Amino acid sequence: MSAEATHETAPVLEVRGLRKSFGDRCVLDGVDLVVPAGSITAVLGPSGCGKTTLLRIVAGFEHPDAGTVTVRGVRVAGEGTDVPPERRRVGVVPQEGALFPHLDVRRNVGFGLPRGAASTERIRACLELVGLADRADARPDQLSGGQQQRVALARALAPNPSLVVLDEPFSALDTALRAKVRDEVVGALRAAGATAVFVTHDQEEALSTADRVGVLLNGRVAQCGEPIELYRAPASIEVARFLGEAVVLPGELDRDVVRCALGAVVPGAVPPGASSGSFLTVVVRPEQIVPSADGVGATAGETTYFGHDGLVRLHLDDGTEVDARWAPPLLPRPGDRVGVRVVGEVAVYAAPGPGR
Amino acid sequence: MTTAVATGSRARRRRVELPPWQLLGPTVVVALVALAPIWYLVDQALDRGWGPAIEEVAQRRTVDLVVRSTALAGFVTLATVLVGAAAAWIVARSDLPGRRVLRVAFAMPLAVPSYLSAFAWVSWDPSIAGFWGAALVLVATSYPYVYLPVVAALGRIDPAQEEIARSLGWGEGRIAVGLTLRQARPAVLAGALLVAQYAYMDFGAVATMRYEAFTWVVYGAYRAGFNPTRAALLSVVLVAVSIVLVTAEGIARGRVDASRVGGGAARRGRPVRLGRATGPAAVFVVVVLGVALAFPVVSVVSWSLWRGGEAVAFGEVFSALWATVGVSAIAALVTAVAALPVGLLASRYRGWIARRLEQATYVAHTLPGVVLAISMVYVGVRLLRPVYQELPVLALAYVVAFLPLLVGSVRAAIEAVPERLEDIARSLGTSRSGAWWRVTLPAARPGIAAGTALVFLATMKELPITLLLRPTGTETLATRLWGHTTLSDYSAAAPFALTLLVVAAVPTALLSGLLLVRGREDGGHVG
Repeated sequence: MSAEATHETAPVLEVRGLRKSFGDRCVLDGVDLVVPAGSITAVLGPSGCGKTTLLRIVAGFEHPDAGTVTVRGVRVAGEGTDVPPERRRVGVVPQEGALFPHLDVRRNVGFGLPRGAASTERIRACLELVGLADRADARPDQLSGGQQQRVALARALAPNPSLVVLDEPFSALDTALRAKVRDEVVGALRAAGATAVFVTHDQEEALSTADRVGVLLNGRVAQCGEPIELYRAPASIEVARFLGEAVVLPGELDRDVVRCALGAVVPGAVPPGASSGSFLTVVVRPEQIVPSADGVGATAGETTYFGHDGLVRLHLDDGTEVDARWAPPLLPRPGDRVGVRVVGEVAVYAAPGPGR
Repeated sequence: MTTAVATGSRARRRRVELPPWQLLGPTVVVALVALAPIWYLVDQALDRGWGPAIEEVAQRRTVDLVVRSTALAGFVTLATVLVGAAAAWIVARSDLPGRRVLRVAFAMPLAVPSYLSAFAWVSWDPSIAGFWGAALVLVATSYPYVYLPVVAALGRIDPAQEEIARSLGWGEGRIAVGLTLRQARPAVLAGALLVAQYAYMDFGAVATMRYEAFTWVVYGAYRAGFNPTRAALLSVVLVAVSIVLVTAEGIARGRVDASRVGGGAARRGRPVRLGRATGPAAVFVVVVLGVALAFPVVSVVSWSLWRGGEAVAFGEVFSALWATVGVSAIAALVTAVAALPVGLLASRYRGWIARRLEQATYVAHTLPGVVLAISMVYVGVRLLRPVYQELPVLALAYVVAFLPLLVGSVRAAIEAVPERLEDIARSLGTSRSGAWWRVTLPAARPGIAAGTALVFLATMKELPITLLLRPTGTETLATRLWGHTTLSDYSAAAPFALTLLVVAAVPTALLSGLLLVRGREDGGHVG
């Protein structure tokens, strides 16, 4: 039957038109999000954009003002439905783990399981999955932050939930530990074949960890897609700016190219309705601006050095300032004359209005 | 971190949601039971109508009485806050040697009944009677009500805060007062409220010190027998004071809105070096423990020595002990059962209904034991005739009297358990009430157990209710002690006093152990 076929490919989580206000503050303003089975999706947004509220609504801890949440084809919230958290089969990994302080690791992980031999086996398997099989008897306060986080994941995975949601799971950890714990957590999620949504305000974390990234801006999902697609072709200038450093320049469409302060650049896609002579806005990534002897002339300014590369401020001859990201050996001294050009396709948008 | 989190939780707390009936039902019953004595009181006070009632209250001697009682309660509250907070800080944050012993020792005066302490002082020097004698005894016996919650609160504060304050140029002293103790303000406030109530209500100290405060005057009016309306009217004035206290506490708590950060186990901070302040701190410790603990104990022991060759009536002591422990244990357990729904409701639900129900259980606490006992006699005669002058009425009176003590502990203990843990439990397939049973209450267990022990202690020490409501023929340690000491027969009172001290000291140590030492040797595991 077709229903069965759709079930196979049906998304695990489907959020439609979700709205939520606290008092007169609108936190979510029509959020749409689809999470395919077996994927790890990041919800990326700046602080205070409602990421956590979105997760809390999905988990059933908050009620949406409008919109619907569907988990594995079952409506769990919205339009008169309100399935309590305990019947949603959504595992939650909160910030800082939030382990039950009065229970040891084994009982924390076994919390959502019925008593019995099968559960004992399941607890062991889940702890093995997160690499903590030897800490089953430890109490939460005897574990490091990263270990607590992994136990929290094992606890969420143990009842075999339809979906696991993680709320800024790594933000409480220090950088060195962070990447390690992240790899371990993602590894465990993939090994378990789980579908997961995690929220973060860290662009790098989202782009490097997730299969899909949803960018939450101003209470809406501004764009959702694969990391590379997002970075290359942001749906708006705002998304482009949020995902990484962006050089935003005015330009003019001239047949297949756009002419701007950096010369003729190749647009990835032309905005609908634009024709030759239309004014557009061009977004160039700093790493797309490369040295080129016969390129646009510029004078080098301040350099910010990061180790693996550096950001150089370039004063183009027409007075425009842009930042370029170059490998250290290529970095010029302030005052040096350089020529630059743009490689690869750039994102272009309709200009905000005439006169720009 | 993210403001979304903050906004979410703030809004969640503000949400007014009707609690489920499983919680609301028992709480309403408990609140009604707690309010029953007041109903009798008002009924009795207005026995002759409004006119005579107002006339009686407006009398000069009534106004003087209010002033006297308030002066005493105000002084005692202020002094206990200073003593209790300082003791807590020394134990929890300083490097004074012997802190682990002090931790328990500072809580011990809780076990000393105020009438026993007062008799010790009066028997030593009768001229101490009056305001200062009463104040001394009340401070000495009630400062642990501030000390205990503050020690617990200080243990929960993230030590990183003190380190950050130091890095911002704050000195140790400024940190202790301006940061550490400031954060313990909800705990100080809760303790101070209890002490203020205690000071207004205590009968033993003011009666022994012959200070004409409310309770002693009410007792006199009742015992004289010819003016029960005046006793009731004065009690109504006391209840009015209580309502003011409860309201003030509500406002203060709303303003403070204790911020709890993180759910994990907090790191233990390094103690603050006292340096040159070590001397004064040691003097403080010696004076407090000397006045509150050593002096009454030494007095009781010396009374025992005066006995000379007189034989001790072991049978009497044992039966009194048996009766005391039995009655107190029943009272503590029943009170705990009654306090659970109230504490859970108060800590998990805001809004008008939750506040009023919680406040209802607090109001009864300011009924002096004498008045509560009289009104329970009435309730017993009217509603519970078959069990009147039997154990159930006595137990019920204890429940009403000590409910606030336990509701406060239960509430504080539950509030210390992040609601997030309940959310997680629910996401793992547990119902809301299941989450309470499996997560909230077990995690709050130490605090709840400590509160129950507190009630057990308070019941053992309790005098007026026991005197008036004990089943015929039952003598507890307290009533025996009272009987002998009223006649200044200190040597006959000695074995009962000693037994009371010893029996009450054990649960005090247990309580302190639970509250304070817990976690120190916590290396074991639960299999």
